Amino acid sequence: MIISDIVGRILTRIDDNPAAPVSVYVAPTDPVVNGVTIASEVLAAVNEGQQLAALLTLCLENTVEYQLGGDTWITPRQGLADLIVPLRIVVAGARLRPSTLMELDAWNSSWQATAGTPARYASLGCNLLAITPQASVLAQLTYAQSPAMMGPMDTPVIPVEHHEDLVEYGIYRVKLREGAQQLTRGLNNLNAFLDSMTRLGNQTRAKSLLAGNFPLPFELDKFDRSKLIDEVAKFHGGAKPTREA
Amino acid sequence: MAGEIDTTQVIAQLLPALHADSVADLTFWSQADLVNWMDEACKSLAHRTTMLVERDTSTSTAAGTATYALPARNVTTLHVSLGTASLRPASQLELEARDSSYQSTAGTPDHWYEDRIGAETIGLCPVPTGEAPLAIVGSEYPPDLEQNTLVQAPAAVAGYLSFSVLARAYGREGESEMPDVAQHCAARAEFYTQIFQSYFGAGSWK
Repeated sequence: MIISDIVGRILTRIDDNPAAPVSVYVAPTDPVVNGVTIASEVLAAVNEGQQLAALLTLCLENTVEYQLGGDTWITPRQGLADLIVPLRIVVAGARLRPSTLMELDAWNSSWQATAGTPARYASLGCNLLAITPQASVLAQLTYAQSPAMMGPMDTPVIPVEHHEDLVEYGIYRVKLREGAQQLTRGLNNLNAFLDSMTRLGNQTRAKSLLAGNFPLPFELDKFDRSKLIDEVAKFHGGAKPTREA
Repeated sequence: MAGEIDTTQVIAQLLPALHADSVADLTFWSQADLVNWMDEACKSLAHRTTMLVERDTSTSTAAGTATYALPARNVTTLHVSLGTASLRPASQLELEARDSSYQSTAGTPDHWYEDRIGAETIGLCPVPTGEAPLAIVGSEYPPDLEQNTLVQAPAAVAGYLSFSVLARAYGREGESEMPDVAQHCAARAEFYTQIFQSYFGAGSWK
């Protein structure tokens, strides 16, 4: 599915005309592709959905050759703009062990100035890595990747079987601002999206465990959705939005 | 630098959710409101997660000086080094038990402390005898946001900022108030926060 298909399905399911939608914001410069007006509001919603899917499930992995210049402290986002979190670092075929700074201090009091083949790393925040021992070597860095913003002719990069989930997210997102019954209806779509992301996240977790990746995807099946969905639905005394058991 | 979140773009993308097609078209809110709410959301993220971590090397020790100012935007100190030697965190009670004159004993620092000396100061023990670089790794909030600030963070943080702003916008008392939308958007921002906590760690506020 390319974006114009997804946008067309969203507009159709909210009972709007894909060629000339009236219930969503359309900028004068929004293009028409395959008979579908790519309303910027809907495109932004689909992009947001894909970004959330990648964040929740860490399903997009990328491995790059990364030059460790012999420094202890590295700010990886300078070269990897789409980095979410590092998942695995390999030097000379050996995986570096993820650690905390406290573990590194306990392991070797001079870990910040020890020359040798890198063996451990600590990841701090979204843009700081500590590597020890230090050497100027080429590493293979595998990281969870944020998808790039999509245009009208792009195809989502999350797995194909989950492209339909972006339709669900898009419907929810454009109904959100209406509040009341429209929001409650949209919450059904959000539930469907989250149910599907739970499955995708579980698949990624199983693979990551085998690969020795760290961290693992967010445990969505243990997340309490009541404040997100159930309590909002109660505002209107409506039925609790549907979700999988 | 690529990979930064442009707050102008975040605001532009949330305008339809505020029933406006341009900033000038906002009826109930101003652009300054949106920027301020986004700024508050960024600071909250720095307090509630350890996602925005920086290593500050701008401070050097001086002979006979035990305490130093923390970096201006420091929220939580995570690790301190003197040069490349890691210092251990300690409370003043522990240091006092070890050496009752720890605040004046000179030597090469091996511990750092922050308790009972004010929120923006770090102390070293023993007291340094000379100049050396002091590297402080800590959670820091970004500089105050303006209309076109760039925030260095994963792209999904834009979603967190959008929902935080929408929660404030629709939660504000007045004609524009929509409590159901505000509650849901606040819950969505909280959802993002929990995801960030699971990947990057919890901050000083839960």
